[in-house]
Amino acid sequence: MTVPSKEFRLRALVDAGIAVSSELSLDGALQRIVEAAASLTGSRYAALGVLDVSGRGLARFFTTGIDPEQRAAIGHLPEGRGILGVLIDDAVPLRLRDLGEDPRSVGFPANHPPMRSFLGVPILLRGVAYGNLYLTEKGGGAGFDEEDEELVTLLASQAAVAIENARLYESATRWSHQLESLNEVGNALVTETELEPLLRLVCERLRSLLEARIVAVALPFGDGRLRFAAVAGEGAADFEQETASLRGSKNGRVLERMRSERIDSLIDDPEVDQDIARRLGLRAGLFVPLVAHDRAIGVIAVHDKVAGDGRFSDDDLRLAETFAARAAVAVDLSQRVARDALRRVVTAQELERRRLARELHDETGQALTSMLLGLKAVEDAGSTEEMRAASADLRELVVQTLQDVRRLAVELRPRALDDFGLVPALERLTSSLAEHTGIAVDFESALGDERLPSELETALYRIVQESLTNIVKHARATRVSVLVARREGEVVVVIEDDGAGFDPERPADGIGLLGMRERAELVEGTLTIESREGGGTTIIAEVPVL
Amino acid sequence: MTYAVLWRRDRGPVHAGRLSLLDHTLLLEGTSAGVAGRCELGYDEIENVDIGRTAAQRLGGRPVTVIRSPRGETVEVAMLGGGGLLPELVEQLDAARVKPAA
Repeated sequence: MTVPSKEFRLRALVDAGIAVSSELSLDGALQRIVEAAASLTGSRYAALGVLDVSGRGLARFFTTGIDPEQRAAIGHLPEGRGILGVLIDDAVPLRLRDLGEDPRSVGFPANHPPMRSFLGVPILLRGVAYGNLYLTEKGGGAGFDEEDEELVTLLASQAAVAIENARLYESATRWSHQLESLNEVGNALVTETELEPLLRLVCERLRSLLEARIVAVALPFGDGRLRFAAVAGEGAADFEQETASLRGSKNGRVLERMRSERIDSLIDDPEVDQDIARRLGLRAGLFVPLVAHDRAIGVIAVHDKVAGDGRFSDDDLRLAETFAARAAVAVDLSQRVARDALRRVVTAQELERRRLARELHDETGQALTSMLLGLKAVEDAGSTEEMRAASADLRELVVQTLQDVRRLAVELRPRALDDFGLVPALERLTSSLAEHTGIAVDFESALGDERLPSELETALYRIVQESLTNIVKHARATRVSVLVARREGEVVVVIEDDGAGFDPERPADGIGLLGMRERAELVEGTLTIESREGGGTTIIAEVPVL
Repeated sequence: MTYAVLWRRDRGPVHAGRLSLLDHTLLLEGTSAGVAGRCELGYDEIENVDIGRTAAQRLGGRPVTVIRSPRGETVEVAMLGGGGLLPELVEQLDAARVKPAA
């Protein structure tokens, strides 16, 4: 290869600048720079090495002058040792007349063409090294001179701009995807009422952003164990079957310590359950605790980056921590909702007990005291007539007290519900309502003599009871119908009235809809309310029967 | 606070409906044979609250809270919601009655 003229060099330099700035792909731009460098300096071979993120090795290598067959025969690409390593360690231009004579050279691999003259120039931008431009075998057997170095340095600075732009673009794109995913998870936190779909979304988005093989959320359950509440990725089904002990697993230890960990090699970590890791083929991992109110309530485990050796970076760990913060909010909210529901149940039970205690003390106790006084009146009666009158008063008192005690027992829990089932209990409830309130009540059942599981009968009875109480309190209805229907795999109860109706979005206080809905949900059922002001109300409870 | 109740005023028709304990008044609403009725009593108008258990006093077979005003009006209320509500209502009315009106 001959040494080009100055005019040619200037023209080639301008062309290279235009080509690099018009090239859309980074690979294309860097390849053009390598070719321009070889052409400008009259070199037989040229290469451009891009440093990896650590800055210690070469991530990419572009060449010119070596054909594909030669490249295949040489084998693996340079790793950045020898003279190339010198440039990586000390980012200043290096000119050598003969590579082989330099004591820092480690020689060439088999099938590598011989190379003597060498010019290496670091690719620098604002003091940051992005890689190096290497040229060898200058034409005419001469060594590289100062002018070559200046030209290649100029090309190297263009390469630096191209690499930095590409990295900035890649970084901006990655941030944009992260923001989109975080927004999506944030929106789901507001709209999604079920915990597990929300955690699954967290797993799916995190897996996609980290390019991980599998992402799982583990939550404590029972006595000292963890279960995988949501899993996304390859082998998710196998993962979901696993549980882990709190004390004997990495997830458990991270939960206990409340500190994130990045594990490059699971096999070397004594806290990792090696049996599970082997069975699921896991190599590396990130473990991030879900922390809410200074308490660890779960762990996100991320395994095996799909590209490379499966290891994650510190940036990956930080991203997983951001997602873990969202997941912690979801888990904490769900646990609080569950605790609130339990608290409501306990409060309602205590209120009912307090009322029962008061009724027994104030009403039944007083009635029994009155009976004692009545007996005294019978004993003290001066004549048969007085005794008959006192006995009659006493009898009425006993009858009324008996009636009140029976009513109290029915209101607490009708015996018919246990002895005869839902349909007879509802027949009594609806006929009693009609008798006492004057509201016309139709009751119809397609259940026949079929008995349902006790908890279903209780739930449906209480839903109807609460609905009828609401109708009396709020609806001013003249007609009510209660229908019990049987469908494949479920029982449906419909309570309909022709009363005032209400806006279901803004129900009146004390209407107890939340309690009714919770009762339905406790037996895996649903409660639907259809109503409009002035248009009556329909309540539909649907519960599955296995 | 609201309760499902049966109520009547001065031995009139029995209404099924709602009793609401408002800030300063006791409000009864309901229907009797499809006709709407309403009765509002200020807590300061309540002279006496008692429980009526005789057969003649009962509404729907249930004992009643008997509320009397200084003018001699009587309102009787039976609770439909569940056990123990009658003593609870008496207690609340007693507390409201002695409370000075704001």
